[in-house]
Amino acid sequence: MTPPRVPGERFWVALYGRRLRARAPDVWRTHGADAVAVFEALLRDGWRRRGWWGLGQVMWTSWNGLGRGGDVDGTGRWVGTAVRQGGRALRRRPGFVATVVALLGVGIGAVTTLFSLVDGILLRPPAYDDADRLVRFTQGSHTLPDMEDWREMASSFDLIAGMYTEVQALGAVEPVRIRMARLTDGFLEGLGATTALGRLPTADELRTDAAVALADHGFWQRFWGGDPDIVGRTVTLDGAPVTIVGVLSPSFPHPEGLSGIRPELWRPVPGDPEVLDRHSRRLSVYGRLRPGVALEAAREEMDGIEVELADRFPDLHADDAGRPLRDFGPEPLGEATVGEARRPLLVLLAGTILLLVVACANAAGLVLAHGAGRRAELAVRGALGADRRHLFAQLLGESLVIAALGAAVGTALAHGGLWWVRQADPGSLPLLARVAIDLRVLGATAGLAVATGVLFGLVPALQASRVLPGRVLRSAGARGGGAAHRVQAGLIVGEVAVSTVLLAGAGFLLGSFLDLTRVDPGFDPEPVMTVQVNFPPHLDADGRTTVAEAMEARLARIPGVDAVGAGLNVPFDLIGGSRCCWWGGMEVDGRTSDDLWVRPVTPGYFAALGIPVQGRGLTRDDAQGDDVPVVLNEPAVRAVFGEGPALGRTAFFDPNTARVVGVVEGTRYWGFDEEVEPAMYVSWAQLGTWGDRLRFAVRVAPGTEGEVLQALRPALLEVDPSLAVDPPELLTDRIALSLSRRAFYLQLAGAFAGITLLLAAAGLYGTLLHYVRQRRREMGIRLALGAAAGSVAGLVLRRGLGTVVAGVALGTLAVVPVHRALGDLLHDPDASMGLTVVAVVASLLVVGAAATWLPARLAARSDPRNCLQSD
Amino acid sequence: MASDPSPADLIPLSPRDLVVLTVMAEGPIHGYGIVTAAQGRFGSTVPLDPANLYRSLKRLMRDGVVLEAEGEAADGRRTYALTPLGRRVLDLEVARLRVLTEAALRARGGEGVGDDAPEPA
Repeated sequence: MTPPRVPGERFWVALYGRRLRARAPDVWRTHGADAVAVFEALLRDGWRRRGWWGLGQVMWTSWNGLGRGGDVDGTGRWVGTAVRQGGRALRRRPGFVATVVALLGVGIGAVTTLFSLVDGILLRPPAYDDADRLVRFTQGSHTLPDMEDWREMASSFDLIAGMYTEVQALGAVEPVRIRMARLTDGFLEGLGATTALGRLPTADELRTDAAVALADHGFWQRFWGGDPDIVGRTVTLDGAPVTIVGVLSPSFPHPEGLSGIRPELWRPVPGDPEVLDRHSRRLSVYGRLRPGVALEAAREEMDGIEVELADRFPDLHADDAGRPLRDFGPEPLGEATVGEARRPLLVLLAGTILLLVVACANAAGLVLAHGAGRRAELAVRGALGADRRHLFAQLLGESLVIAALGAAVGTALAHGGLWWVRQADPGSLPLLARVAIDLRVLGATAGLAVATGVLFGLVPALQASRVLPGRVLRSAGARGGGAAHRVQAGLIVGEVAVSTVLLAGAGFLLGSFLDLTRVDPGFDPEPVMTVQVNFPPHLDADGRTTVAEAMEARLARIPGVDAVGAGLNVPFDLIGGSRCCWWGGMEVDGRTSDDLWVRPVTPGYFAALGIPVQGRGLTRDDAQGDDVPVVLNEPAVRAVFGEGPALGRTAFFDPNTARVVGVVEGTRYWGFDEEVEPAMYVSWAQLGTWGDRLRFAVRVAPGTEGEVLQALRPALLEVDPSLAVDPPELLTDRIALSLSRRAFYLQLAGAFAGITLLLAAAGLYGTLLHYVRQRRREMGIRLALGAAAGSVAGLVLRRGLGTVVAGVALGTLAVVPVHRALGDLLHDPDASMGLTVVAVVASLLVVGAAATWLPARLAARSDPRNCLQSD
Repeated sequence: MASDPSPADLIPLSPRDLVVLTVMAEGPIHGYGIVTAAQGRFGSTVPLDPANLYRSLKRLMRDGVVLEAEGEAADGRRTYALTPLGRRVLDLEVARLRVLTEAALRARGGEGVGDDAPEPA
């Protein structure tokens, strides 16, 4: 066995030797090399047995043994004494301690929550052997023939495999819909999949579309109750018999599962011509680099392959000018799976660190204010012979105790925070199941706590330990030093500045979100509900048309239903799923337009969705005839006919002649944040029955939503109980889902900004209050000498507002970089930020004024007699 | 080496010296072996670190309780063993501790004084 590598071993060993020589010269002279050798052996031992924990234990004992006196009297004793003393000193001031602990707890809690997310999602490599060699080929989906070509042409990979997901109906009667993964050979082996039961499908079975399936562990538990006899059983999938050959091991992390979608059954890629078609892009393709091949080299090779394929299939892989079209470049699997979550997580982590900084500044301000009050105590201790080192140690010890308590509170809050994130996350965070507040995160929290303890304790400790007994005792401790006040004011300016930055960030997100919700979707979603029916492959076009018409008629008879339509898609139905569908160009006067989305719909579609049509919609009779009547949306009109009127004109749409019978303005299908794509509506019965699904849209009379929602599925199953019917949904829910990612990040950012603002306001308030209390004598004298109460209050107001204005001004400088850092989290990055900034500045000034107001009033009410008698 | 001290002058032993001698009573052993054996047997009740180990060994050798064994280890590590004096010191210390421990156990069992055992050091 090779000896385990201890991180930083040489450094620690050398350091130990040096300390040993300094601290125990007699031992060093005679047994130095032996002692260092033992230390090294212990380090390795500790590391091998218990990892970081063991390492820490060895370090702690060994360093403790380096104390000057001989027996245990090292750093440990010193820290222990400081902590004990600090603890005793703190027990006398529970209110102060509780406040500071709460402040730090909130800060540490927020950072720990976010750090646990960043750690689990971004920092840990995917849980595969050879994870660093696994790549995903970019640019969405690829075709099976392309993948086969890569296997032949590319030498950088020792494995290339692909998969896609689809939905199939499981069961013969009232079937349920399940998520099905379709695999090529090599996929499961490449990711090191193992089974809990039975076996994996063989490469042969995967290549020949054998009627076998592998069950996901969770699905096997849920659906078959963990029945061990499932292996070898035959089930009905889309009407055809399939044999279950095995159950995947529960520990197998599926690459798509990393993003939250986990297939329930796994089957071979089907061998039908549709899948083998070079136009049919549906595979996510993964590869494993040969050992020793760099990612860059593999990228270059794929670039070359792309050029070659562009040459062989110009219509598929090259643009009009003949340049290669698509980027096959492989990217590391870790990056590929994290994708869109990276930036928001890092931005939010930065936000929480700012929050912690404000909390620390706040705590430092409080400790400082307290320190000023304790100058007399410290001076007395100093006069009685405590040396500076001990005073310093005591103050630092206090900070460490507070920080440790803060870390405990923060860890508890982080558990709560993580729970909330799990509840609130709309599926935008991949790998969330892997996130945990474990030893690693706790270690980071502990480090953070020590760092904050030193940070907020050090400045006051330094200041206090520099106290000269004579001077302080002479002035009887009545007045705080000017330096302390300057530091406090500086802290508040910093806090306000950071709050400005965070509020501005949250404000930009909010503004962007509100902009989005005001976007016109191009249809009237309320009150519309949708429900999807899924056709098995063996039901032919005529059968599908018959069923669809019967279903439309049946739905229309439900009381409360005003209009019924259906199409391959309705708006927002594919949010969060794969993008399917069909597109093609239209040709006019020899010029082919850019691709249009082709949307097969039934005649009732436009009325049910509330899409106004200029000209006419589609009718039942449109399903026959040679000409294809189409309805275009405005972007499609511009793409095909330019600016001219389109109604009544014809264009060639391979292989038919299309006649424009209607025009609609434009409907968004994917989300408010996406452009309206050029689209062409055609008759579903004429051109759409190839699709394996049909989605009904039902417009209902207001007030009947509840009953209709209940009645939809039974009504459809009444027409044909062998079809899989999805649960009906409100269209408004689908829209909310499309906004949920932004809403989620907005909530997080808003919460952090709000907490920071509160912290800053509380800090300002506390500092001013302290200032007023310390200056009461001066204010009393002023009032006694005839100063107006208002002018005394003004003194405080000016001080408070001056601090706020300085902070806001400082923070505003950072607004533009913040805006840039948010990047694509903003819907429209070019939208004006002026209004947001004005609103943020105004709200900060209002909060600042409020926090100043009470202390100012207190100052104005200073009673000269009380103040002057207080000494 | 001091000239022929009496074992009685060398007790009580510090806890750490006691641990070192106890481990060594089973035969010659090198420094690392002492630490790991002490960890295995006493856990963290008496933590042993390299610096204090060699401080102990130096002191015990000075007192003639321990000596450096000759050419035991192949890898050049020095090994240490008890001298006859060392064995007597250890026996004496153990006997002393036994008297104390039994008295303390009786006292605790009889009168429920508490769990503060007397420190042998």
